[in-house]
Amino acid sequence: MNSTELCFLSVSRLAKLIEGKDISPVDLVTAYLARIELLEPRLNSFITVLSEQALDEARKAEKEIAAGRYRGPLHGIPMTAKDLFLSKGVRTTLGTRIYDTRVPDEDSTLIARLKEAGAILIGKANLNPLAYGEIAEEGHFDYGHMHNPWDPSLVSGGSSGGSGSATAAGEVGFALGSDTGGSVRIPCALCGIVGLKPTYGRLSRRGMTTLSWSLDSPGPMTRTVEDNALVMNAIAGFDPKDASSADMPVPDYTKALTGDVKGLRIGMPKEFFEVPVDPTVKETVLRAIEEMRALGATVHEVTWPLYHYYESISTILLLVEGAAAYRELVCTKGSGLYEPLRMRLEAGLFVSAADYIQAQQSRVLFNRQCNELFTKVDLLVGPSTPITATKIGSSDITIGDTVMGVTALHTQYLSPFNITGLPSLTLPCGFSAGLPVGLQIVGRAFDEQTVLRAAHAYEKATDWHLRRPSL
Amino acid sequence: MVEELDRQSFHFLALAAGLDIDDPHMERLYAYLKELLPKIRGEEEKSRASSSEKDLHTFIQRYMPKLRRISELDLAGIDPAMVFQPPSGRRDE
Repeated sequence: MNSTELCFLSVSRLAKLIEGKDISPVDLVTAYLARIELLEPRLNSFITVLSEQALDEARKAEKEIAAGRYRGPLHGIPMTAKDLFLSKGVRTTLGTRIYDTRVPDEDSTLIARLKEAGAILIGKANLNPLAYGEIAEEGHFDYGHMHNPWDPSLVSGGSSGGSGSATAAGEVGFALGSDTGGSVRIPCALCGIVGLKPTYGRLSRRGMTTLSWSLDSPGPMTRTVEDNALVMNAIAGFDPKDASSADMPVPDYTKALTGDVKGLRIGMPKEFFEVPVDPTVKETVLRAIEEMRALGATVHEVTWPLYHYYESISTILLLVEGAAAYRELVCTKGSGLYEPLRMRLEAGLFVSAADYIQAQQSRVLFNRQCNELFTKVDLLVGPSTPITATKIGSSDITIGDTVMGVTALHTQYLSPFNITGLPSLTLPCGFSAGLPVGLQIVGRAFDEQTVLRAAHAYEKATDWHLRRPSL
Repeated sequence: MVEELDRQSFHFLALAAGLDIDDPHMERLYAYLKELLPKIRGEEEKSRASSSEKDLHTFIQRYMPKLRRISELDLAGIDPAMVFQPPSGRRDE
């Protein structure tokens, strides 16, 4: 096996090789560092690469494993985290030069749990500044654009774009991202990998810098569904230091991966096809849903009329919560921010409290209607994004007769589930003109198992996840 | 609800929010808000974009093309989706 093949192996496969001492964590980190060095000029996935620190950690892991202290499937696996997860002793920039030299003195809960599981932080991943927006215009990125491994002239998607491109390009074993309106799932869909935004409260947000208290969720970004389950096993669970953390039992997610969807009732909201969607993406996703039917699931059209209000609700919530989260920054250092970002942060200061409360009331109706769908079906499915990756620098795209902003399109199927807080996963389900298309699978609250089960069965029956960008 | 954000109200609110009202950027922010606030309330037909504000108008239209009026919904009797924590202390009284 050559070095490139090694870097593209799934975490589950790498884990077996490490546990069996067929490869050492040092060799693995060395291979990934070489690949990062080779690809970074084209991808720009990282803000900080931790070469020496990662090699030190790999040597420690190698010794532990040699001494019979194997910690589990993430032991010795190199990973990255979006550069808004606090990392002890490693600068955490939030994607803005304003924080270029800020070095936290503790780890976020999720990074701490991954380190405890033996994973090796090989670098901090690039992102849209403050993880706000997913805008592709020139000038927006303080640390440069993030490029799509399938075509570096295209966006990798935001805001966890560096995490997405690094995982898809085999620069890491897996990544952590954060998702306020699709920011884990967009780059996963556009880069052809698996991304899960679990139920709100399932993963600790402590030390994951807040953009919106009520919409933010961390999420694992992986090359396979099984890898996603493995990472979830390491990071899920109650965190008493996070007020929004749910004190709920955590299952072994890998046990849900039965390869079987027989009897599952899958709902396809008709409203998903009443908004602009590229015809090829639509066709690809419908084919994937047919594949799930062929595997034994039943497919039902369902209706969710309030879906069309998602943008009003999420816009108001994000404007206000984002403004509150970054009020001090924008008041004291606003001139250091890209102007459209600065204006959105400032604008939230002018939205009335009454409008915000009404958005939260509307959210209740919105969620109630969505939850009612789950009395009829076990899962909702549809496209992850209505378009594939677009050119860097292009902020608008035409679908049919409609000119729309790329960000508005990318979030139209994903942001609704930040409002509901329900678990939502994207996985590759085909290609359009050589670019990945994502299938979204949504489940009931705290039922990530069924989401992973359906995604795994589909993945097992297809080979989209095995395709690699030819970098 | 402020129906029309006039300049005086804007300055008052900006100052109260802690923004530097002497920053030249504030003119752009004012123009942006005159577009944005009616839009998020579903009142875009009341919006009057001047030619100098046209780029902002276009920006907002492109980024929020599908906004619907929350005020269309019947919100009577609906508690907002917010976390309310009961006060700590004895609960057995």
